[in-house]
Amino acid sequence: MNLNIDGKNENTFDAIVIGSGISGGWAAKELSEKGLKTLVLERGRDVKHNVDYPTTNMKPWEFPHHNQLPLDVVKENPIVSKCYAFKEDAQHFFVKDKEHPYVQEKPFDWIRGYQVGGKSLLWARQTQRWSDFDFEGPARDGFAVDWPIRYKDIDAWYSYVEKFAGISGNKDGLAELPDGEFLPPMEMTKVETYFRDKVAAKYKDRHVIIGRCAHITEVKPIYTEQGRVKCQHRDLCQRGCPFGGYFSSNASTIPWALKTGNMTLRPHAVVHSIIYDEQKGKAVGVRVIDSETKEATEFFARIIFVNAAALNTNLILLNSTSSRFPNGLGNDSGLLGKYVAFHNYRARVSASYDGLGNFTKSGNRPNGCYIPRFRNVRKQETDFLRGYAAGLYTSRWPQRSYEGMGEDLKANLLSPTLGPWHVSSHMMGETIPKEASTVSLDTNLKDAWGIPQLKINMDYDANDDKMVKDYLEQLTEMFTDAGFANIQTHDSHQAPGLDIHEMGGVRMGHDPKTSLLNKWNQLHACKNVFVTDGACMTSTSTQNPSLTYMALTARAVDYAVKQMNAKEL
Amino acid sequence: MKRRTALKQLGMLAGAAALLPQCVGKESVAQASIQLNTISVTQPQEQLLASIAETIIPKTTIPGAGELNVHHFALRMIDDCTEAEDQKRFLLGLSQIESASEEKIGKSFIEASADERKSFLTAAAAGTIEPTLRGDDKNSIADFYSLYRQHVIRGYLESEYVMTNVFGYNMIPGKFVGVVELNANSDLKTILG
Repeated sequence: MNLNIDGKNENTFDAIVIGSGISGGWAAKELSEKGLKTLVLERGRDVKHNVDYPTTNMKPWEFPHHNQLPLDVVKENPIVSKCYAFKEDAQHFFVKDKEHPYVQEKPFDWIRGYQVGGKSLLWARQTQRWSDFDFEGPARDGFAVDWPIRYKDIDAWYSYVEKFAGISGNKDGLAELPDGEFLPPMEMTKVETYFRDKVAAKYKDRHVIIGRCAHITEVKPIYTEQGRVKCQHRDLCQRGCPFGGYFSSNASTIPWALKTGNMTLRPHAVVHSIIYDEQKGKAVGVRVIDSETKEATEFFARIIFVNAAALNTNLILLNSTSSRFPNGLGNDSGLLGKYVAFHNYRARVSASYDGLGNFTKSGNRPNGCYIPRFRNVRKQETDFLRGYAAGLYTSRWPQRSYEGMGEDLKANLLSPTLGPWHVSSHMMGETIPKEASTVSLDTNLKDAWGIPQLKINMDYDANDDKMVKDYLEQLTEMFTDAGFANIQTHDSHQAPGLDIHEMGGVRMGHDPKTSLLNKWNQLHACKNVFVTDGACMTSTSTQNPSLTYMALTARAVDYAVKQMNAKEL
Repeated sequence: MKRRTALKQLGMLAGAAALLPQCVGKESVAQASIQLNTISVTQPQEQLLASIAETIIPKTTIPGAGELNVHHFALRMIDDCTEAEDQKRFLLGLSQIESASEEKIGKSFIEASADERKSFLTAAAAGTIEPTLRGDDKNSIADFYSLYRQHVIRGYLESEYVMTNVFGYNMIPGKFVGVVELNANSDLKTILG
């Protein structure tokens, strides 16, 4: 290691943010807007909005393989190839299997995006608020630990981030899925509203609503100021959106932070560990290894936000050892890396519907319908804990005959008709964080930067299996009642990870003995380090988590800066 | 019989050229006009593939697959997205077409009339055209045709001309309308939404 210690001053900032994805971008924006000189460290390359979206305007036929990946790429990347978005148009935003190996103590498909913007370029953009039915889950049902916050603590912060990010949705008035600051909702198809009404007629507590998603559906000055315009319904989001139609760090928070003049963005900066000063009793900076040159550098700041993505945040803290914290920074409880969890996306149900055949849609909708959790919401009512939300999509596919040769074949190909409605749903189940579900450091294997490889050990349990069974039964019943035909149920048995909703390991809680972070996302034992990405999650509930990370981040920054101003930090 | 033997040898050479490009192909026969990574196809074979594509989907008032260079897409797919075993079968079948055509219709496929080409490929699809080289897999021409046809159809349907002019592809719809009512006069663009 060639340690570069010159120029401590030029390497000193007010705040350091590790990671530039959805939560790191928010930390960068909030800190630099509040006047703090902020260094943002990103392990991957820079991806500038629009400039570095090489495929964004390519037509389907302009891709050499019409968006299919060459076989050698698929074979070299058995893990990331499982991800639905890893195709010719977006493969450059995914980490290839060989680039950052890890140890699967149990199968885990770790899908990562190492670049400025992280996975915010690739996310599915669903943004639902949590309610107290979610925050109160662990306390009511006796698992994990009690969340140190409730809905009232985060409500205003949801509003704050929603207004800036741009969230489209319908005010549905559901206690279990609080309404937000919505831009106009996207439309539902004829068969979706038909299904919604059928479900509502039979089940008082089941609601089919249009997804709430991070897409701009109405022009407002705050988006114009960001250089973003309305979603154009291309549904090519994973390439990076030239309109800034959906929220990403690249289109929104990072350029906003840059504009303040207070942010320094440093790509290719792999964080090795956080430096703890025994005398000062706090963290003073971070050790960084340049991903290209392997040169080591140290950066210093008064506060550090760790937003490296859930599992990499665990890795950094575990690797940040000192005599005060021999088992990882802030890890007095011994729980760092434990109680990790994910979302159960194993099950799908599909069907067809012959009715409403004289209706279709036009344009593309980068969004779907959503059925909020209806199991065990107000009280325990099944033989499994917690529940699942469900996604729902309907479409009609062109159908044609592929028979014949010559002019006959050509006529068949060029005169498609519309097939029946195709209806499909997927489950998003809450999994229970358990002490046995862990991430830890391998004692031998290192990555290309000399950092220990992460060992991942989490799996489904009997509760998840029961939930899969219930989802399949309930959706089948709802589809049957609606008169849908050819109902097919499917349990993919996919490994954890492919949901890309890994959470926990640095959980929030009231008590330093049973949690790592307090209610402000501050390490109990090292107060100037904040964790506001998925690692902080005490439980997972069923909502797509990014919106909650954004709100927690803005809230934590607000608190941190107030504490700094009060000389508490 | 002499002509037949000569043709067989020619077929064998073509087959060898396709299978062992590094030994024979590059020096002796001009290569295809597009860059290929894992397989090797000669210029005459490239023309043959264009002719087969055009036979599968011919020009009418709308261009056919040959004119739209769909064979280049198909070649790229076979080159980059196809298992080695299937590539081998594709090349083996391809290498047999001209000799089989000579045997079946007495002339090169490229020189045959549209009707002759069509009936030749119909027979190929039905598996009734066997390679002239005894000992080769009897199904190699049928296998070639089946694989090639899939890519030709996909490449044609996803070509710029067809997507734009026939199906009304619009990259930037600008909006999403959830409920569109169809009637007997709805055009393809409306139907495909």
